[in-house]
Order: sequence, then structure tokens, then C-alpha cells
Amino acid sequence: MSGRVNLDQQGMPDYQPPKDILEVLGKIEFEEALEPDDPRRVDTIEARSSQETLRRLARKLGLDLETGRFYPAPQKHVLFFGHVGAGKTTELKFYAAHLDKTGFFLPAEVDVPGVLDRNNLQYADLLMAMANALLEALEKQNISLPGKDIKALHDWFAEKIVTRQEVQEFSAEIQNTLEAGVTIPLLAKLLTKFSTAFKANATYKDELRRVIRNSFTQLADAFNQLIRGAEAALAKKRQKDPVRVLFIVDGTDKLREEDRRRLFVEDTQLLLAVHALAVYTAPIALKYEGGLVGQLDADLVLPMVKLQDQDGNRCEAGWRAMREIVLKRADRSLFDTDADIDRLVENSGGHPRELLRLLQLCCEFAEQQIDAGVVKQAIGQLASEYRRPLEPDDYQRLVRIDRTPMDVGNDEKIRRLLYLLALLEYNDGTWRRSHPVIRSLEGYRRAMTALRAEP
Amino acid sequence: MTDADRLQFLDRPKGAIAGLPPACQEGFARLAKLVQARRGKFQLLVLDCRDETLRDRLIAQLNELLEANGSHPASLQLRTADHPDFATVERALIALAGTSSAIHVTGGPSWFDRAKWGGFNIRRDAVAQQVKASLLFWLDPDSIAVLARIAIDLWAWRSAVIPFATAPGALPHAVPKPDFRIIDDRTLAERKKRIAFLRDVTRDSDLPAEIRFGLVAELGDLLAGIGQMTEAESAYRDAADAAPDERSRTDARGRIADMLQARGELDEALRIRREEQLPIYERLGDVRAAAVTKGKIADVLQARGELDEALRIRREEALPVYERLGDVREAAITKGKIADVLQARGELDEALRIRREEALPIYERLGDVREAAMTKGQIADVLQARGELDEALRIWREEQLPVYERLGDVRSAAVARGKIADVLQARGELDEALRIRREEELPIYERLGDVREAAVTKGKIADVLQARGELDEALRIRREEALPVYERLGGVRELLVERANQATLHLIRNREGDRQEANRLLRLALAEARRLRLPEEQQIQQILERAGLG
Repeated sequence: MSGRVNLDQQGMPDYQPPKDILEVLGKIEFEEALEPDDPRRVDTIEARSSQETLRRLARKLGLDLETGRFYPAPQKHVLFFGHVGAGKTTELKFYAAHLDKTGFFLPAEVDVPGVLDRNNLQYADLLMAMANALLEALEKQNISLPGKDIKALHDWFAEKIVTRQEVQEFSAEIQNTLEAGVTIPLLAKLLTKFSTAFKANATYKDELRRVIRNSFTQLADAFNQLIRGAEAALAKKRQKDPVRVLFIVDGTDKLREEDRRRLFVEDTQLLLAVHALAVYTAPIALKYEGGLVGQLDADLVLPMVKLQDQDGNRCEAGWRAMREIVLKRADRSLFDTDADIDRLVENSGGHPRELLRLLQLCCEFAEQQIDAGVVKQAIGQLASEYRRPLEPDDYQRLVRIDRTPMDVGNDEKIRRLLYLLALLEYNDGTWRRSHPVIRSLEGYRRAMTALRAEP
Repeated sequence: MTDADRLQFLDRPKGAIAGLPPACQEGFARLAKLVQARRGKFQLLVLDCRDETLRDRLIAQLNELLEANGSHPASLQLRTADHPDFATVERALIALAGTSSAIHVTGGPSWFDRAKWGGFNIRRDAVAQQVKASLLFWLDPDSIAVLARIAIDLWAWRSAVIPFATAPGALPHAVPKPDFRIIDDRTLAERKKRIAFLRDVTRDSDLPAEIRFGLVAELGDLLAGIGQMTEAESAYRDAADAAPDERSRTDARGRIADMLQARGELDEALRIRREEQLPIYERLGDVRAAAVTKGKIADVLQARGELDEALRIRREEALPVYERLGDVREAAITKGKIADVLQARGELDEALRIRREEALPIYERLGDVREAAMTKGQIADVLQARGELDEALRIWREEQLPVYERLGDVRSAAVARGKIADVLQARGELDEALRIRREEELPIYERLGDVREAAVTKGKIADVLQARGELDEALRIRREEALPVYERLGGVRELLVERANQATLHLIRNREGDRQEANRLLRLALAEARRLRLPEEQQIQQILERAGLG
């Protein structure tokens, strides 16, 4: 149980950012999360002051990164909060890679938008996808399990699914798979069928969900047996004890509000019946909605990149990281001056996707080079896009928050502003500020003038 | 992309945008760049363009450009009959994406409601995975606001939002003007002669109130008809003072409210209607006059962009009164106004249905050829907005203009010719549009002494010159011939729109001193728009911001 974790990132010296405006434009994808070895990825740990975030996550999972001591709890379900587009997935991939390197974990990643229908998701769907992710991770590691560890899951399928009239077409396929024997690849294939059925909104989807819910205790037991078996096999192979399966569930921050509440509030007991370590991404607004069950670990936030602290002092690490994000997407030669890059950074508020949005707008406005005029146009355009979802009284609210950033409450309107990115949260939520581009809008300026005039 | 490709592509939009209205050129260049740079990828482009004629021109221009670059654009017109829900739209998009790299989606403002935006929001993943193409959603500011507020996740997915500003002169919430257009084709000289007569006789201070009231009210109407609004308002105030009874005084106050409304003083106009007119008519039990006043309140709300409330008043408070009274003509007029609101909200199909099936048959049954012709003109307006330019043109030329000519309504005939010129201008037939405006439209207004319409026409002539690149002459007309008229008429709203138009021209010309002058004009316009709480405030603010003057 030892092994210091190295947080350094390996560089990719051969990578050259695009030198053509149209190429930059063509390569910006707001929804794309970067793998840890992607040359465009920028280490933002110092810039976010998130050294603590990874260390805290590791500790929640039972690992002390400094000493390498590892004492995991039987189960831990951690919610990882952050603004939409703030880089949760990219960071989580990076964290998972680091935790993987320690040898104490087998990360099993579930990409919810990729494998499930995130717009109609229930715990049953997620459970099957988690089981599938585990089997795929085991396959990649060439780990085989004794039949007894898989048998319970096999039996559950045989008893609960194959015999159902309602899902006859589906159960016939399962029957064929089961008859081929109990192996990890075959079970994985079976689970993939489940996920496909859920994602494709098959006619028997609701019936499958009902079966899972009605026999959930047996399924959870079977799943737990699979997890325990996998962990024992991993410990044996790695000569390390314990080794724990770590589910990384990404995309749960993008669920519909209704599904999100069902998963993390109403169905929490089902979630907790799985004895595993798991991290789920969650939108920052959920943190303040209330109703989260105490057994969920719900205080870990991915901080924004900090360009200044609460007192207005400049944070150099944040500026460096954000400049680097720009320069990995667009060659320096495309900018007239460094000051142009800094203006983009300043107006992003430390939010990576917002920075990319500004860069994209610059590419739309620029002919060949990005100069001060183009940057100004881009900022103006982004500001005008914020004008559309904001209601007149939102400006007053934002002005009040900017004046007293620590005392704003978390009512529904504030949560909406957080969700819209009109309000950005820094330092794990200890203080908030309006998006910088919004402060350039007339509505904001008028609200500020009105507030100043108040006695 | 090679340097040669890049240069070729960057040059093409420049050629393509030359014929577009200047206010749209930057947006078009952005759009062309995004569609081309992200070929084969999903992207959601939110395009803000209320003017459907302009939209169709932009689509045609972009398609031409894309086809020249080897892309195959497609179009999807959203119609409730074809697409009852988003699932049908999704299937159509997937089918089109098989062969097209860019799909224009039109009809959205009237098709989308909260549920359908919700449907798109939910299916955005599936759409993005299966549609590897640029989706160009042509919307208007209202529908974009709904999208941004209720489908936040989808909104966060937008690749870009590109506004295509219509010239401030063609604003969506044009103020409904008091209708002085009873057929009165007296020449300016004849009108002036009558005005002089009325002024002369009303000097007699001993004139009985009942007689004085009628004369000064007529004087007001004549003055308003030739654009002398301040004098007209003064005459109506005299009429109110001279009114022999409460009812007449209230009517005169209503005419004063008309004047205020015409020059953009909407708050005060609204106050008079609500506080000085409506309670009196209700107390007097005059349900018809009360309904008319409510209709005028709806006019003001409509002008301020409060379309839902305007629609509610017309449907629930005005129309039932006329129907109860059996006043089919007034009911038809109200239905026409309901159609106006629906049209302003982009619900073109329903607006068209009302005009064709509910308003027009009534006028035809009543034998009211003039109102029937006007309704046909409004039908042509909708067709024009839907891009059916040929049919719109046919109606104006063959069904409307001959009626006005037969009736001897030279003013309405000039208005119809102006509409024909609008279509020609939108099609790029600038020379013919200019000829009509100069030779067939402007002289009529000048002869009738309608200085306001003459100034509007001069502004349109300036638009054509601007599109032809004759910026100096366009600017001169706006500065020397249009602006002074609006200043004299005192119509704050028209004045601020004209100032904004002139400022835009300065920005385009961009000679020494032009930016400063544009800034000055825009600041003046902004201050007035803000004072009167007009929807133009946002547009002017955007012009300032885009020009870097914000």
C-alpha cells in the first residue's frame, strides 16, 4: 500500500496548433472532452487551485496520495460538481488516469450520453451500463473470473428475463447467449444488448425496467458479487490488496432535471445498494437544490480557473493556463498582440468553454488575423447572446451578487443563473461573480446605476 | 485546407455579400465561414432574422456559395400538418443529412412552442449523433428568447447565434398609424384652401360650441392628413375645449391620443385611452366606442411589442362586442388586426387563413371593394414574408392596384406601387425599384401633401442607392430630405429610426468624422428609445456594440 503519485503531465513536443483561422474554427468542439494524453489538454490544477480537488477525491475513496496509504470504505458514491463546460469530464479523465496509475483502482468508465439515452434515464439503465463497463474493463486487463462470481448475474438473467412473455423477442436472444456458456465476453454482450435497448427506446424498455426494479435486491447482490470477484482477481493479479473497482460515471450532469432528481434523490437507495466506489458528474445547480441524501458524498466541486481572487488580486497561474488553452487551439501568429489573447482570457471569466466560444467568435469575425477590433467584436457578440436568456430582474440580481459575492442565497433564480453561466462560482463555491461579458451589457450597467442610487 | 482553398473560400463570400444589405454582410460572412469550415460535422446555428424576404435572399445567396464549393444544401419548412412533433422533424433531418451538409430549417417561429423546444432539447444528442451537417435554424428574436430560456441545454449547444439586423426602418413593431386614409384625393392646394377657410371661420369667438367643435375637428383631420401633426394636435385640443358634451370631448381626446401615438409618445397615448376615454364610454354605456378604444389600446401594446396582451384584448374584449352587435364589418377589421399580431409573431399560416377565410369573404359579401383590396394586399404581405414573391407581386399588380385606380384612390395606388417596388428591391432589381419610387410613388405623396409618406419613400430611395454603393447620395437624401421632415413632424420613433439609419450609413462609409457622427446620432436615438421604452433600444444598442462604440 505505497507509491507516491506523480501529478506531472507529460508534454507532446511534436504538436503544432493550427495556423489558419478556418482550421481553428473547424476544430473547436464545445462538447469534446480531452483525454489525458491529448496534446491540446492543459494542466489546470494549479490554475484552479484544484490540487486539493484530486487529493480530496482520492481521500474520499480511501487513498492518501502523499503517503500512498489506501483504506477504502466498502462503498462511496461521490458527486463531482462543476459548471457546464468547465472541464469536468476532461479533469475526471485525468484524475482517473492518475488513480489508475496507483494500481489501487480499476476505473470502469460509463459515458452516459454515449451508451444510454440521457434524456430518459433511470437507475436500471445505469446499473446495466455500469456492469457492462466493469466487464469491458476486466476484458481489457485480461482478467478472467471464476464462474461462481459471474453465476449469480447469469442466473438473474435466466430467471428474470428469459421467462418473461412481455420481452419474448429480447429474451430469445438472451437465451441463445446464455446457452453459449458463462464467460465475461458473453455476459458483456448481454449487457450491451440491454444498454442498446434502453438507448434505442425499444418497446420492451419499460418492461425491462420494471423487471429490474422488482428484482432489484437479487440483481444488486449479483452485481456486488461480480464486483467483489473482480476486485479479488485484480488483487491477485497485481499483488496488491486491496484493489477496488472505481466507476467513473460521466454525463450525469447533463441529464434532464427530472431524471437527475430521480437518480440522485428519489432512487438514491438503489444507487447505494451497489457496494462500490463511484464518481458521478453533477451540475453545480444540483448542489443547491436540496434533497440530496446524506449518504451521497456531495461536496466536491471542480473549481473554475481563477484569474483573480476575491479581493481582486491577479492569479498568474490562471492567466498562464488560460493563455495556454488559447495557444493550443490557435497558433500565436494568428494574434496581433499578446494583449488580444489576454482580453479573451479576461472575458472568459476563467471558464474554458467560454474561452473557446470567444476564440470561435474571433475566428468568425477575423479575416486572417485576430486583432483588438476582432476581439472586441467577439466579446460584444457573446455579451449579446447572454442578453437573450436573461430576464430584466436578472441584472439587478447579478449586480447585487457582484457587490456582495458571499451572501446571495441559492434560490431557484440563482441556480438558473449558475446553470446559464451568467453567474460563475469560484473557490469551491465560496464566492461568485457575474460573467464578465454580462457586465458590459447596458442592462447590467443600468442596474448598477440604480443600485448605487439606492440610499 | 490548403492556402489556395482558404483564399478562394475567403474571397467568395466577399463576392456573394456585395449585393446584400450592408447590415447583413458581416453576419453572412460569419455564417458562410462556419458552414464551410465545419463541413461534415454537426453544428446548431441559430440565425436571428425576422424579415422573411431577407431570410430567403440570404438562403439563396448562401446556397449559391455552397454549391459553388461542392456542398449540397437542403431546406426543411416546418409545418404542423407535416410535422406534428419533433420526432417527425428529427426523421426528416436525418434523411436530409444523408445528402446535404447544410440544412436550412424555416417556419420555426410559428412551429415551435414550449413542448416542441422541449422535444428538441431532449433529442439533441440523437440529432447530433445522426445529423453530421450544419443545421441552420432561421428564427426570430422572440422564438430565440424562448429557446434560450426554456431549452437551456440546447441553447448551450449552439455553435453560433448570428443576428441579421433588418434596417431600423423596417422594424417589426411598426407603430400602427391613425387611419386618415378615407378616400380623399383633394390636391394639396385644395386642402390648403379648405384649411385656410376653416382657420378663418373658427377665429370667430362667438361661434356656438356645437359648430366650432365640428370645424376644428375637421381642421385637425386635414392638418394631420398633410403631416402637420403639431398644428393638428393643437386643433384637436381646441376641439376638446370647445366640445359641447362629454362624449364629444372624449372623442377629441381620442384624436389627441392618435397624434401622440403617431409621434411615439405611447405612454401618454395609452394613459388617455385607459383613463380619459374608456371609463367615459363605459359609463355612457357605449359598448361599441369602448370596444374601439380597447382596440386602440391593443394598437399601443402591439407597438410596444406586448403582442400577447394585444392579441388577448382583440380576441376577448373587442371582437365579441362587434359580433354581439352584429357589426360584421368591424368584426372583420378586428380579425384582420388579430392576423396582424399573429403575423408579427411569425404565425404566418394562421394569419393567412384568417385573412382569406374570415376577413376577405365578409368584405366581398358587403361589396366593400376597397377593404377587400386592402385585405388582398395584406395577404400579399404574408406571401411576401413566406418568400412567395411572384404571387405577392401578382396580387398587388392585378388584384389591388386596378381596384384603387378604378376607385380613384391615388394614395392607396401609390402605396401598392411602393409594395411592388419593395419586392423588386428584395429581388435585386434595383433600377426598376428606384424608377417606381421616383416616378410613380414619390410624386403622388408630394402632390397630396403627405410629407410623412414622402419622407418614408425618400428613405427607401436612399436604401436602393446604398445597396448600389452610392453612399454619398444616400446619405445626403437621409440627412437633407428625410431627417428634417421627421424632425418637423415630431414623430419621435420615426426620428430615432431615421437617425439610426443615417448612423449606419456613416459607419458603412467610414470616412474621417463618420464614426463620430454615427456615434452622436446613435446616442440621440438610444436616449429617445430608452425614454419611450421602445423595442428599438436593443437594436440600437447592438449597432453601437457591433461598431465598437458601445
